[in-house]
Amino acid sequence: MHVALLCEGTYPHAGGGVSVWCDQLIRGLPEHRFQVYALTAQHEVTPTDLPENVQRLESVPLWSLQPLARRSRPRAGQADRRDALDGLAQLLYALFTPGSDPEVMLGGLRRLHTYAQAADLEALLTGRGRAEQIYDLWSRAARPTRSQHRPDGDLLLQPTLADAVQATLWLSRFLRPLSVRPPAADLTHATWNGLSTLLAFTAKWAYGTPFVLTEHGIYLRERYLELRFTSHSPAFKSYLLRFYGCLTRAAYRMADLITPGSRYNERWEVREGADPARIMAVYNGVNPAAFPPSPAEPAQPTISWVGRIDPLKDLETLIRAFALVREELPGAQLRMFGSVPRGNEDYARFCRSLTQEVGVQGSATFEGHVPSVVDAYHAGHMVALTSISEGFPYTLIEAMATGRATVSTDVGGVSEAVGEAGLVVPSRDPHAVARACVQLLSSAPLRERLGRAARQRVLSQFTLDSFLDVYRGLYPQVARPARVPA
Amino acid sequence: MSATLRRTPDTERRERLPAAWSGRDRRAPDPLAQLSRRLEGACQGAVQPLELAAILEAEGYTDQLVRTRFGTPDVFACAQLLYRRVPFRPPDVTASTLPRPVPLERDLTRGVIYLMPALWTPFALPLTPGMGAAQVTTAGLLTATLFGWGWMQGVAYRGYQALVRGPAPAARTLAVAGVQATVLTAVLAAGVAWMTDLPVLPTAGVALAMGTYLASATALLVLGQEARLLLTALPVAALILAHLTGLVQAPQWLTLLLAVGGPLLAAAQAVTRAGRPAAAVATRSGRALLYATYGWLCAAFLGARLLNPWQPGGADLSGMMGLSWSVAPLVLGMGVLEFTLRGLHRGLGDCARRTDPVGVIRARAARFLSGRVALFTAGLALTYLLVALLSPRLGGPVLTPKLLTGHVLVGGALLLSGYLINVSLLGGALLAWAGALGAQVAAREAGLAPDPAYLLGAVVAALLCGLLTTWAVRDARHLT
Repeated sequence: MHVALLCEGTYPHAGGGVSVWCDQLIRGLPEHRFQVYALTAQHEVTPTDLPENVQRLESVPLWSLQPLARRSRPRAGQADRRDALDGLAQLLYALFTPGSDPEVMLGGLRRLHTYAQAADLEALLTGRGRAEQIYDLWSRAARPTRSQHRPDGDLLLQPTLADAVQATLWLSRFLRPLSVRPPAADLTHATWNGLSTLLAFTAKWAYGTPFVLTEHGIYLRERYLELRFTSHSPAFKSYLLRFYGCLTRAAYRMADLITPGSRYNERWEVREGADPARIMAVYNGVNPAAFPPSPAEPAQPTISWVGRIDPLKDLETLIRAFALVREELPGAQLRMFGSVPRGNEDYARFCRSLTQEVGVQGSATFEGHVPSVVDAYHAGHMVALTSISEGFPYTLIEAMATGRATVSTDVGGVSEAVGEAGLVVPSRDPHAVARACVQLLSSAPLRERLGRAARQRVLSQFTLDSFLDVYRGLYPQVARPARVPA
Repeated sequence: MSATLRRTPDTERRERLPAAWSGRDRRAPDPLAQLSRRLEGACQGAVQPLELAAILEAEGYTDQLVRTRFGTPDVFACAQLLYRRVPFRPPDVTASTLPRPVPLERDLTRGVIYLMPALWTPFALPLTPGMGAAQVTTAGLLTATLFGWGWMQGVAYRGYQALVRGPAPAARTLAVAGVQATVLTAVLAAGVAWMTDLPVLPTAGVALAMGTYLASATALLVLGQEARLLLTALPVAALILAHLTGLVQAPQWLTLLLAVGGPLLAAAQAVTRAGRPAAAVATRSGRALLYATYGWLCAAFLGARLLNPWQPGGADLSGMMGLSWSVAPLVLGMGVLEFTLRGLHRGLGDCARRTDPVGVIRARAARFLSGRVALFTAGLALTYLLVALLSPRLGGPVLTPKLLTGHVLVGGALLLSGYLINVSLLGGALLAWAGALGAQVAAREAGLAPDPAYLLGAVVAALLCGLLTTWAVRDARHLT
């Protein structure tokens, strides 16, 4: 079977949980051929270590100055152009009308896709007069950007002309996937909601290809958190959130099967219009043999943390909690393993300065990327995870597989992963994190009991084999002969 | 709590608060009111109820927790209540979204930097003694100016492209492209010399020296090291001053070494310090060539008048050193031009950051742009009036009103070209300068005198740039 795996900002160009998941899926299902479509910010160098069953890798740089590589396209006529502009108007209507049916947006997107296969959609969307068109429509639908009581639903704020220009540009970049030739596969599998699902739409329109949508974290939820402290104007933020909301709802409508990484995610999906009958949670899995337990513990009481340095991981809470731990256990150490992704340099600097601010600079260390992640888990008496948003975190089940006791925050699928085999505390609560850490660091029997239970839980529920078996069974069920051209 | 909110003075915030929120709700002791106070910034800035649900979850609130604490069935219901309860208040993000202003002195120093080669070339060049020296120097400089300077526009474009990925890729791009451009300049000058029966090596040497200086200066300017470039000019300036006042007899080789070697060392150091880029950066070579063409057209337009290739026997050194000085105010004014251009974009951006009807915004933008262009041109005209008055009294050549009017119009056209290029209408700028050059060449071929032909070309450049700008400023994309 040929599977088109659709990724945004993750595999194969970036690290992190979703990339690990993709790699596991591809390598674990050698009987299938994969075409990987990677939405990236800029042009990326093709990695050399792709699995053998990756048939092709197509990168779609959304923000590169160079447009997508041109292929020979039939010329679009005036009628096509008019139809595309009608499609744009339909799309804008969907964005600016609260509670619009996802079909309205899908109709607009489909017409734009038809045009994009014959002509330069980006040129059409950013052409002369387009920003003024968006400004006009948006202004009519919006409410003034001033203090006010809210309407019952979403708020769309009055734009400035500059907002409309920015919105035009962003829309043209967001819709770049519509210009890519639709994936010719038996099945499209989006690894996240959002922009990559546009490719699944095009395959469905072109060939009737079935579409599986996996959500590790909730795309829309993470956009809300990302835009919480945005420097965008309030009006532009309201526009972006309208777009993300409409797109994710359209993806739920188009997906034949939705496989969230945890049951927790289902709440958001159902709320945003996903059909519960088409949702099936599939938990991530790890290979227990790759994460052996280690009875040895470091000499000093040590907390280990593994992940990428990212605001969603909320290292601020961890560092503040560690300062409180040091008040109880002055010899305690905090070792943070993980690299700084491009764009998070400021956040990394903030975290470093925070260690100085709370007076733990010598004992809280940033260890950077570690070649063997098992060593990172073994480096601590326990493993902490203080994220504010998670799907079903690998860090946690890997740590559990090594038999280390964990302290984690109650976000996403964390409590489903941990069950009774670890300590779960509210997020953004340094005191709660500190109390749990002190509890574990002070009691070897508790650590040993929870560590043993954690490994047992992983062996019984979250192994790589069980995860792969689910998809091995699901793919043929969902796929049906698609009208893929030879 | 959003930090940006703290920029709004308390009094102003209180005045804008709707009555319900500033009343009993704010002081209510119930848990939900306390929660809304705790998450005040998030609650006030939210534009969707789900946004608050996401924030609640991120702040540690689960369905179970909100059920027991606030009596709502889940986080979503709790978020909906908060959303209805707390009125929207837009955060003040204006200050953080505006680009950081570039210091005035950084713009103004650029004018001095552009004029620097004119300071040292008469003393450091020619490289060969005797009767043929003027022709050799002219050929070398002509090639370096027309080809090298234009080529450096392309190099600068590629450098700025790479700068998006960081200083290391930019430095590497500038170094590689700069060396290529310099070598090409020298080879081309050698070819010109060979075809015109001039000594090949000295001619190529002049072009190589000028090309090296241009490449080094381009690298330092793109990397934002104007001050360092100016510092490298101090020793050669001191030497020339000492030479002019008779304190020392400056050897030509030393002048050349200081003039070219200083910027070259500074550029090499800047490139080395930037480090090795992690990956190669692909830049748009075709587009860079268009930028180079723009440079070539502008240089050719000025060169056609100042070097005067129509004069029997070719241009001579005295012509180049004499008449060329008339462009000094224009070149110095490039710093003011960059400052004006930056202010122009800032002002147009302010026009676009309004919620008026499009027609009103367009009209305001057009008025603003005309005012700024008129101000810049008037300043340049005043300067040239002074130059016209002072030049003969200071022993300089008599400069005709046509030549000086041409310079003023060229200044205005360059300002508008800068605007056109910045709003991605490079094609328009190319068209305008090709038209201007064509008009001047055609006029000269038709037998018109140099200054009227130059004025005619300048009028064409100014008119075309003006027309294109008028068309461009009606487009919302060109205001931001």
